[in-house]
Amino acid sequence: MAVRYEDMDIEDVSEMKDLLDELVVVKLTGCVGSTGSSYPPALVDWFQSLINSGKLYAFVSQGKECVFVADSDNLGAMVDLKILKHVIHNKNEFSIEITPKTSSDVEGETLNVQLSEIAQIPEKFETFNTNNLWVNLMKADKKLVEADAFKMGFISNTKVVDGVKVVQLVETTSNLLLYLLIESPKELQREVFLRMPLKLLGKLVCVSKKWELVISEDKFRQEYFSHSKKRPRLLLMFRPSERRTDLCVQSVYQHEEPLLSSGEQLTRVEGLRYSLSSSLGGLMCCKGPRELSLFNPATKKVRTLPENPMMTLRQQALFGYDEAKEQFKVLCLESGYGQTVQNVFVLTVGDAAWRQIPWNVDFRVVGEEMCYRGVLYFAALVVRPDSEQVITLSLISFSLESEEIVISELPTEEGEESNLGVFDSGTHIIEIPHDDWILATGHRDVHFYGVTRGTKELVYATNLESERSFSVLFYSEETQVIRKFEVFNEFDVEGLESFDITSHRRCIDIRLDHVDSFARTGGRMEKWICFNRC
Amino acid sequence: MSKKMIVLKSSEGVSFVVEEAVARQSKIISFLVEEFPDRELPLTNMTSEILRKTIEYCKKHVVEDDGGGDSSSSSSGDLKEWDVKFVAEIDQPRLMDLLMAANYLDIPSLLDVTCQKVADTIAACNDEKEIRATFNIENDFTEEEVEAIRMENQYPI
Repeated sequence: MAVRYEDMDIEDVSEMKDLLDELVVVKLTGCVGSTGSSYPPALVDWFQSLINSGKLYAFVSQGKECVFVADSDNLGAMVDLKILKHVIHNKNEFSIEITPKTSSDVEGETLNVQLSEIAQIPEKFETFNTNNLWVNLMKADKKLVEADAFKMGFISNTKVVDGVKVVQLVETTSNLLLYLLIESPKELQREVFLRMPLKLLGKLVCVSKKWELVISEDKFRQEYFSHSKKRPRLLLMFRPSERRTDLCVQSVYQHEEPLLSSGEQLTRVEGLRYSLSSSLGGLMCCKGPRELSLFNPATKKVRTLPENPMMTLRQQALFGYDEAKEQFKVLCLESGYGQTVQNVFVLTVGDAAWRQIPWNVDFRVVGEEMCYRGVLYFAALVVRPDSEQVITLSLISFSLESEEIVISELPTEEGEESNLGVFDSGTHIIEIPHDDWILATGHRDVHFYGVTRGTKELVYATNLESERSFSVLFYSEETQVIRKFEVFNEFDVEGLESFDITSHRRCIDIRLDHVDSFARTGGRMEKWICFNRC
Repeated sequence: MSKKMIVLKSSEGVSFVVEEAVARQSKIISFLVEEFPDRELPLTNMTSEILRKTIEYCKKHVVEDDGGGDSSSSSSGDLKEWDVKFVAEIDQPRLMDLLMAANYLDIPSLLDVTCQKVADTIAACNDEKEIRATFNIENDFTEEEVEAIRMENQYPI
């Protein structure tokens, strides 16, 4: 995108001055070609020279990021701190300085026909290419090499060198621009792949080496995650057969209508016997009384977590995710039946061993945990240290990064039904409004499943025991809008002829804000169970 | 108030007169219109056919946006349906051209629907052979390499 110099919203360039101390000047001399002087180097040769000499990689490894290139005969070229700041702040891959053409600019490269295609500037416009380039090395190097940008077209100039008339093949900077400004087909491929269901990507890597390259890049995985974050999914989970390890997960886009035909994905997995945590960073934690595993509904993969040899009694696991650090942690509370928590352990997913956290307060967890912005919250009944008779309902927070535990007593007397919810100011215990609006929907018996993150809607579903159909209700307190979705009774479950949820009377569970992710949990894998590999 | 018109020219030299508001859905054209008012804008790498399609899309979307300020959910639903129909009627090679055009002119919503359509087409293929045939891709893997990729745990969970 073109930006006018005057429009750059930059005043203070003092911080950029320090960068000048880091400046390395590389002067390209000599000629390329067999007979020495037969081929005067053109501007774009600089990049090839940087690569061939190994300087490019040396610079990148030293942390040098930005290259400013100017023609040696351009006496007026200088590092403009304002432009430097602009390209650094906007993380521009490639920038070129252009200026209105003046009468003295006769021989330079005006933005010619080809360039006008790129920048969409008709050739009549008198814009003069100063050939001052800014390139971000970190971003551009691979791209340029892959594209073979240097083979992309020539302009032949007849010049006289040392008295001999030679034809100079100039690879124009415009061709570089052509490549860098128009996104490469690879970037477009990435755009397409971002919109594919995650489990299909496993199949796509086998199509061609190019596709494999695009899909296996870290950059793509990160983009995929942020792309799917924009369209969170609602997961409907049910057990389709008598086997307790058999689980079906139906996933649809949370904010789109009609809910049940939007981006529908049905997954059937074996091996998840126990209840599942809420979905965080694309994963859910399957919480058995002894063993724990992680489940990625998008890839259908299940991974068991290391056992905790220190644990002798029953465990209660709480699952947390620190988005900023891309780290998953499991907090494990050990207690006997009906007793208060005796020991607290934590496992960073990817690590081999559990660690114990010092703890000396008697408490018992009530309800489900909730993780928000790197902090795990749960409500607990805490025995006051000064008097064993007094038990208070408190909110306990566990910071995933510092592993600090903070207990704050809750001010109000809570009823039986209280849930954790996130609002702008942080986490609160919220009272579920069981108000007139639910009655207005025609349903009496509904169960509360939580609050969506982005839109802050309260999510309910009808109870299958008392009603014949299953509906999901979204209610926004702010706008007072109710969205209601009837869930089809019949699911097309692979391996079963047809599956009627109401006749089975099996309960459907709901998880909100699921995001499809490769979920790079890091570290060596303890043990992998992989079902239904693509 | 008369609407301001601008002229876009395809690679064949055919001129298209479009309302400025319609064309402005392209961020590139929007920029150019401000920078160089009253000029004809040559789009030398777009055929008339693709340009016509692109304009058709932009027209539909500008009308909806003008209509009621915040588009109500039903009209945005209708628009979505229209989009689905719009891309469904385009054959594979032209769809790719349209995708490139959306990218080139910087029309995010058109890029989104065309990319989604291509993604859906890929998803509808039964196996990688069918994908290669549909998109005219050469298989540059050996049997062993494919096997290695399959066995390798591509995605840690």
